[in-house]
Amino acid sequence: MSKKVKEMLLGQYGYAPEDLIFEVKRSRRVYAYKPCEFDPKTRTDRGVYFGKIESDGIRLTIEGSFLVGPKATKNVVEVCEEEAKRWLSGEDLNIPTEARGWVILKWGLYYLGCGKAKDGIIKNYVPKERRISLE
Amino acid sequence: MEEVSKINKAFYERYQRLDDGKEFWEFMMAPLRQSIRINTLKAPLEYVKARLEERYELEPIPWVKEGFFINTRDFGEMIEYALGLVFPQEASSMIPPVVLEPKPGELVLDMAAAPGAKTTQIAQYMENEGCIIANDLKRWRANILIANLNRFGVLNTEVTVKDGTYFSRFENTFDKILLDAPCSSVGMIRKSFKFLRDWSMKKVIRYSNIQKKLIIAAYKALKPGGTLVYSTCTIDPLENEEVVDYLLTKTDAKLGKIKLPLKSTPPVLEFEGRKYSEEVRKCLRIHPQDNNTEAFFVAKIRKP
Repeated sequence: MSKKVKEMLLGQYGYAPEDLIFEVKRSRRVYAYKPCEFDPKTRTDRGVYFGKIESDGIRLTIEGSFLVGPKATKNVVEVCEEEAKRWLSGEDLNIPTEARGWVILKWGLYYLGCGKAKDGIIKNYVPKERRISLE
Repeated sequence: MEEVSKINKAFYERYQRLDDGKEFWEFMMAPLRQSIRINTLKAPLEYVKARLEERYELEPIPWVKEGFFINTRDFGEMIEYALGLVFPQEASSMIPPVVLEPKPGELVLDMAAAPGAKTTQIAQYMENEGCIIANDLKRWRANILIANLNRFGVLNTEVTVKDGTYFSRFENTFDKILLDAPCSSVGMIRKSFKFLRDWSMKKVIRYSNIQKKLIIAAYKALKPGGTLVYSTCTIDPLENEEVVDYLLTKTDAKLGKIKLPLKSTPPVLEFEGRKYSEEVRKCLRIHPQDNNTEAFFVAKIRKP
């Protein structure tokens, strides 16, 4: 499954982190972690929620976008501070972009997760618990 | 002082024997300054600091280069908080991972890890390389730990839900161990008076017994040449010097000196007729007035 996820990432963003293990769990959620040789001989929880496999590609979480974004070669959309704030408050963005489908949003060295680009609009997927208030 | 005595007389009577200065009680009751730690796993320190300084006033915390006092408590509107680039964390609670000095590639045990502020700090110093076993006794607390590890982008950590003594079976295994022990939380009074109301001598004794079991288990699991850091956010000698002294008596453990740019209070060598080894002078005892922080106690233990 790790191999399949890496292929999808290469196809979508032109980069896949080589040193990570990807695990697809329920609801097609992808978790990423680094291997650990020590076995604590008990149940463990591990991995960062990296993204979700949708019908048309991988939608990265904020954490996934920080892991892929810095080396991604395509489907990255740069925004300004005001757009970053609006995005993180949960708004869709009107941005003229050639890209279609899942894109990583970027403000400087901050990666803001993934949105879906279509007809000049990027649809927002920032989860409620990660949104900022603009008041 | 009267206010403390009104809320919990036994508490006041016990700790005025430990520190009878006016400042001690004034700072014990004063609200804490807000502080944060910048997450270098996601973006460079100087870059995040510069962005924050466009909107907030930052004052460096002298003993941790990623730590800053900040002039806001409203994280609901902070981009960096939403993105997992900053962790609100009390300034003195950043000390134990600094003393532990974890390195990339090491095997580290965080024995009582929830909610995860110190675990994420350890992961940051390890640059997400190597392996951390982050343990907590309760599933509901482990879930908070998992959420924080996720938000911080920690990739090298496995979370277990066990009594900390479980790890004594892995003898001579871990390069570094942090035991930030469950305690009576006197330091937390500055966050909430609940800790003052709930304090009792019975709890101090119960915690002291738990801490002794945990520190022995942690020491067993430590590799020769490894470092164990024992810490609490309380001031009671029964939970601090007594526990370290107990380890020194039962094992071949050695204490290391802690050199940090901060003020501290001399460790207690005698309290209520109990005497402790001169070695405990090497521990770090912080009272609220020393650096205007929570109270804290830190011991750096080496296994020969």
